[in-house]
Amino acid sequence: MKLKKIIAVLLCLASAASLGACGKDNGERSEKPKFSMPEAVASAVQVENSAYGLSVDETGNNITLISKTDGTVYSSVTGDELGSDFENQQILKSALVLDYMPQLETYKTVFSADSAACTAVAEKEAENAIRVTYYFGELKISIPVIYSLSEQGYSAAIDLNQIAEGGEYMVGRISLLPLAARAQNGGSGYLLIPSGSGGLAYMSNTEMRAVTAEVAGAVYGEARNNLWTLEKTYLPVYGACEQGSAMFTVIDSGAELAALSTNVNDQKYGSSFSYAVFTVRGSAKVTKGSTTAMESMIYDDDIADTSIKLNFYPLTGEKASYTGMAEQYKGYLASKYGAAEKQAAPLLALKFLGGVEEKKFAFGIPYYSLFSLTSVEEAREITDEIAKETGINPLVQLVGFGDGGLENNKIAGGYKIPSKLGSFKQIAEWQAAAEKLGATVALDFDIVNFKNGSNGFSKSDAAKSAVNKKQEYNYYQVALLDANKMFSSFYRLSRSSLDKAAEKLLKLADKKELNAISLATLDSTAYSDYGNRKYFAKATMSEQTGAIIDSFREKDITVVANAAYDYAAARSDYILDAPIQTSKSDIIDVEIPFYQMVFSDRAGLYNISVNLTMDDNTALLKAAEAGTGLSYTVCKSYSTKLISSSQNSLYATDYAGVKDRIISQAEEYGKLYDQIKDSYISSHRAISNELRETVFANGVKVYVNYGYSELSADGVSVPARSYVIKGGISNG
Amino acid sequence: MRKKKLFAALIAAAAVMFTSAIPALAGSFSTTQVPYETYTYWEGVSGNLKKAVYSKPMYYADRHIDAQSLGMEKLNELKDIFCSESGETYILDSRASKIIVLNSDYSFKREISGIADNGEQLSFTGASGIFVGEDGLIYIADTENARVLIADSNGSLIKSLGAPESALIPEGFDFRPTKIAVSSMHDLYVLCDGSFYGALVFDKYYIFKGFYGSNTVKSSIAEGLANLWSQLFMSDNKRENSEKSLPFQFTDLCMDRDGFIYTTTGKTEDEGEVTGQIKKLSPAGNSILGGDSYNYVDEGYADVKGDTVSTRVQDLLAIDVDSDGYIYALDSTYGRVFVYSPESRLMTAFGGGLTKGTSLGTFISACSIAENNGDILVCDSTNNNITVFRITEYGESCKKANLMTTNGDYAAAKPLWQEIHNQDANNQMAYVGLAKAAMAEGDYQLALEYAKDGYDRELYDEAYSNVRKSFISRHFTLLFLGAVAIVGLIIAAAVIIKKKNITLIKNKQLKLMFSVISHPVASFDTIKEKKSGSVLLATVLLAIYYAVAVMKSMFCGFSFSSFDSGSFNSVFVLVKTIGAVVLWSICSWGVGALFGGKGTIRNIYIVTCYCLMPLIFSDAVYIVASNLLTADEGAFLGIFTTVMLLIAAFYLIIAIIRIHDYSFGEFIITTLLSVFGIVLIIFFVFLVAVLVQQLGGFIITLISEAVKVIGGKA
Repeated sequence: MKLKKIIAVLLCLASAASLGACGKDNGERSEKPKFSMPEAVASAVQVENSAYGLSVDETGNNITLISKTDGTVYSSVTGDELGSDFENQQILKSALVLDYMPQLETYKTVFSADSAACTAVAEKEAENAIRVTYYFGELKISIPVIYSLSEQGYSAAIDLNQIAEGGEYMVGRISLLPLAARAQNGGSGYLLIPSGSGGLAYMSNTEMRAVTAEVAGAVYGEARNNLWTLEKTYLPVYGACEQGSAMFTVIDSGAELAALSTNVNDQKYGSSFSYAVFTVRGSAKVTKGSTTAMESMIYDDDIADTSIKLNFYPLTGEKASYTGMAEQYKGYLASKYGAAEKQAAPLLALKFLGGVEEKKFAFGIPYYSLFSLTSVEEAREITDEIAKETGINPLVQLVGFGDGGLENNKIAGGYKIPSKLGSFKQIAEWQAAAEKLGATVALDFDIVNFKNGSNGFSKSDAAKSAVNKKQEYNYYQVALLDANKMFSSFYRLSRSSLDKAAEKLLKLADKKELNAISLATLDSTAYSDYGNRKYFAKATMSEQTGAIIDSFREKDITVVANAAYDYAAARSDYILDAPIQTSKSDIIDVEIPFYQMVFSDRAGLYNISVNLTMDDNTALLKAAEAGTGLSYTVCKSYSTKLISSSQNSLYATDYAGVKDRIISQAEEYGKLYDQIKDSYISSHRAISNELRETVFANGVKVYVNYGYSELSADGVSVPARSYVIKGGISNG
Repeated sequence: MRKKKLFAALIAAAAVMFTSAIPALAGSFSTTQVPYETYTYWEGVSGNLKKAVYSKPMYYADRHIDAQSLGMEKLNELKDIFCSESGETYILDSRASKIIVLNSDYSFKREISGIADNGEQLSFTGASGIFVGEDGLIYIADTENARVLIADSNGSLIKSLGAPESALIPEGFDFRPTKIAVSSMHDLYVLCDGSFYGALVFDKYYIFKGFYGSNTVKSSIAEGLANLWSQLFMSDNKRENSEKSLPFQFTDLCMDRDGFIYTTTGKTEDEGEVTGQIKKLSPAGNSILGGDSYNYVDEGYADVKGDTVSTRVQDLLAIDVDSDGYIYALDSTYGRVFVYSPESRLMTAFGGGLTKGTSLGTFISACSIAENNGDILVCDSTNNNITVFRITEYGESCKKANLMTTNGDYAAAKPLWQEIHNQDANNQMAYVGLAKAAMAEGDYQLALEYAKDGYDRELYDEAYSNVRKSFISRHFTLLFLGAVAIVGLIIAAAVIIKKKNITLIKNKQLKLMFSVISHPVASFDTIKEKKSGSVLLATVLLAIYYAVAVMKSMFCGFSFSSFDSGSFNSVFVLVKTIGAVVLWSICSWGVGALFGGKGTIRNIYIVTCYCLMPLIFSDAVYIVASNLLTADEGAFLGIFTTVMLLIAAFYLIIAIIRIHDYSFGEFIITTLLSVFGIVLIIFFVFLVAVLVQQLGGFIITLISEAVKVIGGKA
């Protein structure tokens, strides 16, 4: 009898849950395209506009752009003959590379240039567009690609909903026109690698390097994996430049799905190239038993509900450089997000750390209590002190001032400020006072990470993994490069709840009269949620985040961003924690401030906090090279108790230890900053590995020497580990 | 498609462990400018465990030295590097049989291709080690050719040293030299692949003198017993064929300014923690650095499923020491450099790659390390490059300040330590340095605070002793009068109580409980016969015992405690206190029931709890005294605690004998059986817990799959 009851209860529960699932919009497709082999015969197709002609050959692999201005031809494949390593060289002749898989197995690759595997049919789609459908007969997969011509170049796009899967094989990853942005091995060209601040890989040393590597990793990816720390890829761009000609690529749509792959000086190719690999389907690795030999992959049922689009911009003459690429990208951002409107950025920015959770015990029963690192009142006192000493009203950001402090306990810190740290009233008053002085005080909210439910959000609102479980995240164990199980794991809010969390925040900002906020975590986090097809493979994160930021700006709320991806950076008034380095991959020869070149005319820019960098001098040189302000992360009450907390990386933030450096560095660097603060980078040159030249729009030139001996260029001698200012009003 | 997914999920449900979540860091406070983390360990925070904390980089990866930077066509297989006093770097390209010599700025100077021997070129392909003497002589450990080549600075052969012929050389010894060090007296120390006997030592005339230093075999009790068995009962033939434990060979050696030899030992265990990997050998060949029980690398290791490096046991392959005695050790598993102070305290750890590194500062096959005028050079035999780590200003300050402090120049070190502390509040050595400086200045209160922040209990004790002395001398009169008053009050109260015959405790049960202290036999008899023990009082005592035990962990004096809120587990204390009493009561009763014991479970529980009184008193005294005494003075606390424990045990023996009406022999037997019963119950509880957990997981999976199937159909 009892057993019957239990079964009945279980069935009831199951039915209830299934009814709930029925009512929920999980974005599943009602109908999928059917696969069928083409009847049409392949033929070449071409279109043109006033600037270019675009043609697709009968194989569907060679996409050729011809400039009507100077006759330059940009082919998407190389003219090289394939050698004995034919299998691996097919990428050189392919417009599309497909990674497919049967369930429970890993990827296999097929190239569109493999005529035995792929048939392409091209047809004119519109006045300026060609549709090429790639049919992989044996796999029963077809992928339609639209190549469109514009006044600035061309684009290649795939609506993922139009992909047909008619058999047992599934589409895993797609690469489009992998050879479109390439440079000849051993030549004078280079590749633009968007890792971190940006880097260049020169082609001139072919003999010495034969490295194939994914140096930039996933676009909008994580900062760490189980192996090492990564510098993120903030910008969905790549490019190649050689002999007065360059091809610059912007991932216009579906960047969240992309990872950038770069081949440098691999002898089997003859060319070096970068391309985007789009992961269109979620997957998870499962291990049966405890041995790695029994691992297998589980893939999600469906493809991400989005489209992917690459814009290819040919650049010639003076524009064929990374400066030209930055200009092109700025134009792209202006057309997408509106014209640049740079805010006046003070020399200094102070990021204050609010609180951190401390484990305590009452008769052996553990509980968590907030340890105040800095209260609102203390932060204001420090700001006033710095303002008094330097004459600068700094930009202020308050981080970790919600419930749980920096521990992301609740969504948006529970939408409240613990009394230990202060109150919304104090912050609103401070913001109003700062506004009168032309300064900004932004309060940060984390609406992504949470441990516990609150304010209408529960753990069931966590984003799901590809195996439909709540995806857990852990703090990091520095020595062992593994999850730190000493601290409880946390979740990310389901993507479908993100807008609701932002809406609540907007109401709160309105109610508490906040005039500036920041969304540091949202700006720098792109994540998947396999609970809803719309959000598979991080899809549409840029649109969603962008809409959230826009909603605040529409209410005249100033938005401060941190280490922001392009879509957040382009919409923000100030950017803190801008990257200053690349992933340091072996194939990157020179690091450039490409990120800063792109955003220096759109937002007040500050690099990563000076006191958190390896050494202050390098941080100052990086600021001088990019013309950014100086930022510092500080707290009032540092305690060695923190080494037992999850926040044991805050070692350099004790205000007492940083204060004097802020004042002296502001004085020293202020001489340069005063001349460039209202300007932006117009060009940049890596004269050598150690010497750089930055030209600002107002004519000021800055030479920066990172080396340990004096260097000179253009008749200017630059002392070791220093910079020299030329041009402008007072520098001759 | 859904079926496929269901199938996959069911496979997962059967015996699948999902890969762990991607480790991530909350917040945006990354301090790295390199593709690896820099960290150090705090010691003394949580018992003997080391706690890894981020730290400000003392070194940064500056550049690669590779074929490109040297203007060479290619490098073949770099196996070893050596930096001379003059700053020249010697690179051993093993596969190409080539030595590349660099200037002090790491520019190409010259190349030695083969060793010239009377017009013939001797190849040293497969060589593993290189050393260059102060006199410019080049020593090559030519492994594959089983010799040591000694050449002048131009590469002309002076001596080819083969396997020595000596009675000291064991039969079957394979002379495969891997590393070399030469003393100022021109004694030659050679490590050989497969040699468990230490380094081979040759004098300046290249005459073999014997073996020097070696690891010892660490054996468990079981292994010791097995050996004894083998010695006693096995035939000679069997014994010869049986497996023997041999000491692990050294992986590298180097020599400091004073002629002391430093060695490293690589991976010695497939899993678990290894210790004693770095040794500084005395002239007699004994380790004099820090003992064999210290783990010089990371605390534990991660066994990451799904990672190709499934077991990340560290492997110290190379070592160097600079003129100030700082030690540099290289772990090839993680690709990490560990920098130790001359006192063998970890200052910083950095580098990475986990055998997959292709970024600056990360490695695939890190194989050799050398210090060169402040720089650290690490050689990678797969990437075929050398990474130059340059010391930061902060790093220079740390090393300088540490030397000053070691030399007793606390005043000069103070501003440096202060600056270091300003830049890195996670630098434990800075707290200790500042504490020592404050001690030297006589500011004991400040020294006390710094020592406490830096978890240096010895220094804390010293400062505390001075602070207490100062306090007592300042308030002696008050303290003396207070003490006299308290004693007076106690005497007066005692006299009044006696004169007026006042009864302090009127409650009979409470009185009976306390009478256990002075009249245990009578009290336990009363409890048994009159059933006058109180379960309530016993439970209160038990609760107090738990509370005091927790307080002992948390509130003891700093010198006596290693409380760490992060790792403290009150459940463990609960099990040790309340759990132990409950289990004991149940088992004692159960065994008693089988062996004719007369005690009821109620009475057993009551008397057991009553017997806790000495322990409660002992813990309470310990908590108070530990806050007043220094660790040295607190030695008596250990004796006191032991005495109290013995008293409690004595009470318990009497209690069980009286309650059950046992003879002493019966008591011994039943107690042993009770303990056995406790072990059985614990085992059973664990078993049930595991089964329940698995059943729970199975039910949850079943429900979720049912939901999916029904949901899909709907």
